[in-house]
Amino acid sequence: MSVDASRSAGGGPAPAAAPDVKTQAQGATIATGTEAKRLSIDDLLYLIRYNPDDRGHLRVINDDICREKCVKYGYACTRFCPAQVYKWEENHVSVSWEGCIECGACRIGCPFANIDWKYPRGGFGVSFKNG
Amino acid sequence: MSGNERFDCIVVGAGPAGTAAALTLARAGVKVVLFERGEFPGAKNVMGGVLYSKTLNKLVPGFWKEAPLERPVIEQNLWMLSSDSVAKVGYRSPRFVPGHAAEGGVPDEGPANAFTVLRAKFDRWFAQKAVDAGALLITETAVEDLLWENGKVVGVQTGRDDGKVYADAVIVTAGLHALNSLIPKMADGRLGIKPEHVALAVKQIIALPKEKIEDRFNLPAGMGATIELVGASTSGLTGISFIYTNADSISIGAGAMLSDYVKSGKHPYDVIEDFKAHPAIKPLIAGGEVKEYLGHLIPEGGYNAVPKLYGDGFMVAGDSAMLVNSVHREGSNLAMESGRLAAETFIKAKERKDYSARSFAAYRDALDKSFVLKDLRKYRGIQHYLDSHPQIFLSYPEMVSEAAFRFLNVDEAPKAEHEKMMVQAVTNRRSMMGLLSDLWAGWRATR
Amino acid sequence: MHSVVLIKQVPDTTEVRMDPKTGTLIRTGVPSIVNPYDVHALEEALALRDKYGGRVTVVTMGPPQAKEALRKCISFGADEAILLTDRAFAGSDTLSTSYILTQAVKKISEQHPVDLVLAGKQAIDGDTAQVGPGVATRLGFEQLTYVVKVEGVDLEKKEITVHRLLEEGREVIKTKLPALLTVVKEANSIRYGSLPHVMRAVRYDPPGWNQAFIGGDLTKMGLKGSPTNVKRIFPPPTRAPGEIIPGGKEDPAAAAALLVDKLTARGAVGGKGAAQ
Repeated sequence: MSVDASRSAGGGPAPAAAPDVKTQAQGATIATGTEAKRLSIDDLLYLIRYNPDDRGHLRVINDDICREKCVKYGYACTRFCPAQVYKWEENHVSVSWEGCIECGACRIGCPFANIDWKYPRGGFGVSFKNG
Repeated sequence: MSGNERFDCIVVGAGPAGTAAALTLARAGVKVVLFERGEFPGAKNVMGGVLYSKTLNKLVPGFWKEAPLERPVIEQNLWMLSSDSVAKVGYRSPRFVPGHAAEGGVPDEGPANAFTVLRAKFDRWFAQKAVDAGALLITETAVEDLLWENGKVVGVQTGRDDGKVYADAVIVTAGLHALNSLIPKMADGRLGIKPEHVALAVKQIIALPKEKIEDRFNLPAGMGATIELVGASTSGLTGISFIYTNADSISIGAGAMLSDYVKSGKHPYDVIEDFKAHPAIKPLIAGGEVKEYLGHLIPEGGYNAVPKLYGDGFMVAGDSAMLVNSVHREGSNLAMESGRLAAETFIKAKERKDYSARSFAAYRDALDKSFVLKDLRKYRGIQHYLDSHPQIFLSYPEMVSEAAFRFLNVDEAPKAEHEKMMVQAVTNRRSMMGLLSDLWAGWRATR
Repeated sequence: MHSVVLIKQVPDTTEVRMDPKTGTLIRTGVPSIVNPYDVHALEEALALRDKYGGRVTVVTMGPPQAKEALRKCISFGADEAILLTDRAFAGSDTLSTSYILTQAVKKISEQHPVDLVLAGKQAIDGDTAQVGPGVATRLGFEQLTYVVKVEGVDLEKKEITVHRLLEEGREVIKTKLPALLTVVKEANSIRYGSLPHVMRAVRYDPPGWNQAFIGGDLTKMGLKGSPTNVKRIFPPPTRAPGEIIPGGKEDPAAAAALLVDKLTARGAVGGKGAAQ
């Protein structure tokens, strides 16, 4: 059982290597005296427990719509998604569904209803420890 | 086709609404199955963390003696943050925590008015109550659709092979998103949730030793406090932030309207990190270890966004029915009450063997008579009010800060001068007429 | 064909932290899961049942909470799941555990003769990979470790053909049944249990077998039968982080050249063998 170290390299959650790979869960230590370190989204996603499925549950329906219409929103989902599932990459929005925390903001917030949204299959996806 | 057994009633989602429904049904001897898509009840559930006792105590009398609760809330605060300062209003009273004020042990009298909770722990316990009463809880199984026959709901389609289950009725308590994904066929013209109708909230759990929490929040041993914040806590977005004390952690979060997020292009994780770095907040969480990061959408549409709550063979409760009182940050108690009332309606319908919309109309009547819809109706104007008066969230806290500073700052200027400056601080930002009009509109919105 | 799958309930090690002072694992509040390799062993057993018929029995040794792990196996479609639980089993090391499991498999055989025993290649908490082979030895079964594929079973001849995953490649072996396989996770992908199986699992109460029921030599069980001593647990020394060579997008040639320089300097490339 390995931990997926690729996520720390930056750029959000990398696709998990295998279904049983979960995130490395170590508390993000912020204690250096009273100076708290600012946590990045990658730091935060490390803390979450997932049972990743081997199939995605989120999909951008039409890349042209992102390219042509969403520029003025700065590619909205890439900004408001709290888990940085969506990222602008050169000419399209990439979808790292493995890191999704299932709030559904993308489904309601996409200005063009351009995201095919589902929950993951039952038993898969995020599994909060505290809630 | 499928050899699956038949149930009297299917409940979709083991959150507060679904569990309250399943518990009520099982106790009445109804054959009920409760579906939950998470690994366990609570695994997908997030809230800020304040649970009000009254509704739960009706369902599980004496719950506080056994439930996994964090702290009874003895003190509630409202803070108004400006960029570098804070104005505080708070109220602490032992009347919030009858019995609990005596240190140590679990009191027999009570319960406290409210407790801080962590949903992954609480929901699991609560769902077990329904199981103990005889409900069949099926976890890790998502309900993907309702099964319809002749315009009536007759069961559910789960996401598993051979996954159909039939029942006399279905109670949908599957959260906010169920409204669109599970019940599009109940369209009555008010479907489709808009970004203006939901708040996107993110939260962190920060571990701190008990004693540190009690020191920093000035709390008696075992007691808890809540702080709600407006102003500079949400990076200029319309919203509210919060800090709640758990047993040995702090729940800290920020919620803002999704529409504001879309417009502003801000990242939620930046908003919460900025909030944590505010000079008034930083010392409260210093040295803590962040344990978890969570996010959730909160229905904020209020009374006007409440969909049709029942139809032939189904009822809708909890977040699925948009039953959240955002003014008083109540949701889980409305969920429990609505789930309970849906179950009571089913039990009566079962006596008549009538599961039609006409029969289930009694659910709507019961909600109308309960605090659930009474409270939502009272605040029906608030959504529009807040939309049209963003200054309540944004410039008022700065105004208060400026006024407080001018009033309290000792600079040998005569006190009369101070008062004048204070008034100026306010009227510089908003005309006196504007102020009055805001107040008037706010008062109207909550009548 | 009757397969017995040996499973272990383990803490989800991705959630386990170590106390930096004492060096012990902090397990409180850590969720329990079925050892992931064992789930692949179960999947292999279920696939064989789908193909050749028969039954799948799951066994675990542990406290009553381990019933949860057994129910999980039922939800995937196992026919039966047995809990071995007794104070006499407490404190067992791998030697004792394999003895107790052997007794259980023998007991199971009395009712339904066992053709195949399957286990994960190792558990994610202890990482010893000793229990499977220990059971095979005691039962006198053929032992096939690191199985990545079951080619097929010849029910007439009572033979099984498997692929083993070795460092140098794959080894294809045919052997007589009964046999014991330990399975790697590349062997299969886990099925999604059907709703009837999931609903059966919720109501399933695994039978509990105690020491008196399975019999055997008490001195070989539990603490008495466990010669292993844990001297010390410590975190492995942290490795230096890898180096990312920048600029690959803008100037791939320069980045590649830099990479070759660095590798050459370490002696990792160079000489005749490097170029293909």
